[in-house]
Amino acid sequence: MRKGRLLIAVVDDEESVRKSLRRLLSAFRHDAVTFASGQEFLDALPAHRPDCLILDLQMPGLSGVDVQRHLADRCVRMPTIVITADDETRGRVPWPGTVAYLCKPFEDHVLLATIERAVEEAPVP
Amino acid sequence: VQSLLAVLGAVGVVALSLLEALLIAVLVRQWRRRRRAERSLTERLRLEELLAELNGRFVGLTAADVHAESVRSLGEVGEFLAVDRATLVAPDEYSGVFRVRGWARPGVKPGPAVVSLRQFPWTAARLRRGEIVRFSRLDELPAEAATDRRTYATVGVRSLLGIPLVADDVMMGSISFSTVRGERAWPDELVHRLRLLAEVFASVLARRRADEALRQSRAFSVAIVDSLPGRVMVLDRTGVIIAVNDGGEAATPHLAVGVNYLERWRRCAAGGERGAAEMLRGVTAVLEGTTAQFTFEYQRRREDEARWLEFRVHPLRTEAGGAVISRIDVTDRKHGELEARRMRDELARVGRLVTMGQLTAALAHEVKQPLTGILTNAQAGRRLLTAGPPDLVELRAILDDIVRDDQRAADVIDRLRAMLKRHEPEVVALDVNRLIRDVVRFLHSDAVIRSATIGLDLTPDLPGIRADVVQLQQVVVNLMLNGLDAMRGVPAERRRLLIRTERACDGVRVAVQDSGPGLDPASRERVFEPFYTTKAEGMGLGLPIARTLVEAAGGRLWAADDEGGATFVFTLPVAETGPFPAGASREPVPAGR
Repeated sequence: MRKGRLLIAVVDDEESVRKSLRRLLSAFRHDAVTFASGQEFLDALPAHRPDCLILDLQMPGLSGVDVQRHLADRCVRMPTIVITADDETRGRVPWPGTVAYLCKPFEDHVLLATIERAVEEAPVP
Repeated sequence: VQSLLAVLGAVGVVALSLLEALLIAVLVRQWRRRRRAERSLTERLRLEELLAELNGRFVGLTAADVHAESVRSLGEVGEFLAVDRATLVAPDEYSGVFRVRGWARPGVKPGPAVVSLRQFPWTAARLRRGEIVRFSRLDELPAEAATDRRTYATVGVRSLLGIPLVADDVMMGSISFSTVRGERAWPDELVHRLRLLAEVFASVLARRRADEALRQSRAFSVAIVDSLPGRVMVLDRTGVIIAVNDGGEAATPHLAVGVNYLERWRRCAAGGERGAAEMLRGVTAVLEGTTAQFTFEYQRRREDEARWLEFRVHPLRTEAGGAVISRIDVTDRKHGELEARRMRDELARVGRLVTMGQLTAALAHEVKQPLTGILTNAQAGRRLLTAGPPDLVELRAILDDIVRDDQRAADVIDRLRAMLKRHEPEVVALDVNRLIRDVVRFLHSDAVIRSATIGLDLTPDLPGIRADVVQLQQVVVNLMLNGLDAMRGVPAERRRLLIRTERACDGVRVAVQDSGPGLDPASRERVFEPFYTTKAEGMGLGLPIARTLVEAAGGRLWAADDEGGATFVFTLPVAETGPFPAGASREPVPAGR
């Protein structure tokens, strides 16, 4: 279990969501790095290896599922919290590495608790 | 000597007597010759008098009396010429057969009432050439007139003079004089006189024919005008009614002959009656020849009843000028049109509700994005306030973002409400490029959910088009959703919807092209039939409604034959305003930014 300052990646095409999540995570003393698309995130992966990934499901270009497929292909396992504005996607079979589905909008304590759980459950590399 | 004297005396007496007798004979002959000359002169004078009298008799005669007067005149001339028959032969106006009218001396059997040209081929040919026909005896007729001779013999004619009736180079028929009891010569002088008579008859017949044509033409116009269900008025160039039908209505004093029709509209316009000034301008323009024709719908309110009247004003193309105005009550048609429009608008609204039902997931997505921003920002702000001395700059930025996101959420809801609310369609000049960008924003989330991209190829500076904004948005939404649905089966990276706008000869053209499997030729028209659908969900109303709305706006919508995918194209007429200077572009806009 790792406590303290975490590096969290946020992938969402919605600027307002990226910006507000970065603020929230900073307020809770985490480091947040944001990406506007799945491709951007995958391209930056060698440089950043976040402790946790907050991934939007519906994005133009590569969707959240596509990003997870690419990660699996590269054998990168990363605790991932999928965020979605579509209630119906919650019932889906989770892709390996998915810790939770959170429906937008979500409460900060739920997000933080989920991040904590995700990091705790993650295998130590 | 005495006896010699006696003999000489006797011879002298005899010679004197003979001389006297000779003298008497010469005198008698001279007297007879003079008498004959006098009689001939008298006859000539009498004939000329008669002709002059006949000429005068036809002046001022009504068309109906012409035939009776012709028969009477022919009788008088026939009597005067001591012939047995005097006839007028003219083609019948309706049947085309040659009708014979005329006089026959009492005791003489009249000739046939109708003749055929086949019976008198030689005579007819001569008359047609404007030549006279005359013979004193039947055997004067030449060999080529054998048929005519037989016919004349059959009807008892022994001598005849026929003169053609020609007026304004038109052959009107002929007049003929004939004898049956004996033979008769037709001296040149007589022929010359009778030619004058023929001229009188020809001009009378020509006048009668013109009168008849005029009478028929009038009867024709009156019958047509009277049979019309609406009011028809004929105005002179000053606007005074010179003819009006009743149009199945009770007589009204303001729509009567002699009333100035323009005055009535002037009064209505002065009284502020809606449309009256426009009507006055239109009628005046037609009367002045500045407008070829004018059509106007006018709503007349009387007590609690409103009637719709359609006026059509056409110029009267005569030297005197004027106009013909027809006024038809189109209230029933108008109610029908209004009802049809109401039904169409209602159907369109229901169609929008159905569309919105299909878009709930996308709309939820669209609203939840700013809501997520708002909530997350608010929670970050709260945390900043509790964690220590607040960073006021950061707090201000947070609040600004909250306000902006709130505005965005409200915009989504406003757009949704605008699409769903019951509204009175209003046709205005629209910038089609701007409208398409709005719709693309509206469907952005739907495209994201479906992993499709939307490309725009919009021609800048297009002229404004005439349409109702909500209904045109609906058309574009329906076509785009249709395209997005059609691409379900293709791999996500190939799901691309392209929207093009361009100038067309009949207005502005918009094409929505998908990259789905396309339409087979048989389906291209069927997709516009209500309830025709190839999708598991959906009612098959999107395209029929879109076509109804486009056609109601004066445009056309069809499925085009295109390579790969299906393309739906519609055109809309250009509004009479300049182009929209909006910064239109050709940039491809990815659905997700």
